[in-house]
Amino acid sequence: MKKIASTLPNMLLSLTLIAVLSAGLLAWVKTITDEPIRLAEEKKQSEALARVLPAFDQIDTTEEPNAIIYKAYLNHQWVGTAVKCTTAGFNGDVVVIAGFDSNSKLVDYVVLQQAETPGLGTKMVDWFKNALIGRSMDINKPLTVKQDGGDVQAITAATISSRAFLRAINNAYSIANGSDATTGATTIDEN
Amino acid sequence: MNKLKIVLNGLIKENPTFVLMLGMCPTLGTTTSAINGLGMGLATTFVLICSNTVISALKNLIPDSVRIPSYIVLIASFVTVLEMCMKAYTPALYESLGLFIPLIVVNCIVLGRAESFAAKNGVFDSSLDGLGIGLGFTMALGLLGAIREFLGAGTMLGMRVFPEDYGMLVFVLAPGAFIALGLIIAFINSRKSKA
Repeated sequence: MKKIASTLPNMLLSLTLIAVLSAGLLAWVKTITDEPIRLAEEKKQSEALARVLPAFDQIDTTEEPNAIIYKAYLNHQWVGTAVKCTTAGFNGDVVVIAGFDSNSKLVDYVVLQQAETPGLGTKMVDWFKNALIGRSMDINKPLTVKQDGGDVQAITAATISSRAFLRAINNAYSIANGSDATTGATTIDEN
Repeated sequence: MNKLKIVLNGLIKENPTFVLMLGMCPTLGTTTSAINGLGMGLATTFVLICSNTVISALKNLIPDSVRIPSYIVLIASFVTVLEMCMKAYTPALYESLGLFIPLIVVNCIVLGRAESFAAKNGVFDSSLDGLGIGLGFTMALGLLGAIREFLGAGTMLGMRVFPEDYGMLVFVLAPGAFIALGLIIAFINSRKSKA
């Protein structure tokens, strides 16, 4: 078959045809992958919640403008609250979900999304576990790194990422503690 | 051209990373570990095979003046298909490669092979060329990733070889990518000039 010439109708026809075919292909793949994508996200979410909260049998979800609050109940008794919130990291957003039990102790945290420097800021996923798990939170004494007068050892060579992470935990706690989400965030967000 | 020769051509003689020096952005950006490098390589291989095959099949229906936009639309569609599939079935890999998956659209290897091979050769040969070039890219990224992961973090495919504290962090960061890539290419060129 000879190659068709570059006349205007030919060009319009061939580009339109290619665009229509591509759109059809994409629509078809989307219908197939929609369900698995949703399931994968739900699984990630529920695994994170199971890690950061004490044993629970019921979750009560509230959406705030800049956070999502998950209240956990066991036999209709409130056992803890997890908060998913976002802060600006060294490179893009850091999304953390942190859970607190009924004694204001940090149960655990999971970093859901981050794009920090590989080998430095990315260590936040595990770095703070020893220092923070089981720690009692105090709304008047937010967590800060040693450089800012606090007592949390920052990740070596990634202080900005460490600050962003602690800010996320502090925000999560102040939101979980029922203080107004916006004012709580601004007082801590100032550094 | 002999079929095996087409595949080997992409793998060795015209290796996109070490010989043609194309697609340097994902090469430097995604090779922080061997798994990431291999994942990126295989993702690009998928797009290369699909785009080469379809472009070769449609080459007579695409007028010359609109060939670049046509190729880009086709390549972008395959990349989006790949992106949705990875999100659905390999979410962990998708997250670690992140931004680099959509950027396959503008990877010059894909468009380069469409222009220089698929637009001139038959469907089967073109898909073999996609496979060869893709595997060459995968091999290069896997090798670079393995070297950086070993020197920088002290692990091999995620398994610890020596304690992390002894690793040279620079190899995980961007400068290490340049240094490691430069050394590999220097080694290959010195072999070649002796042969």
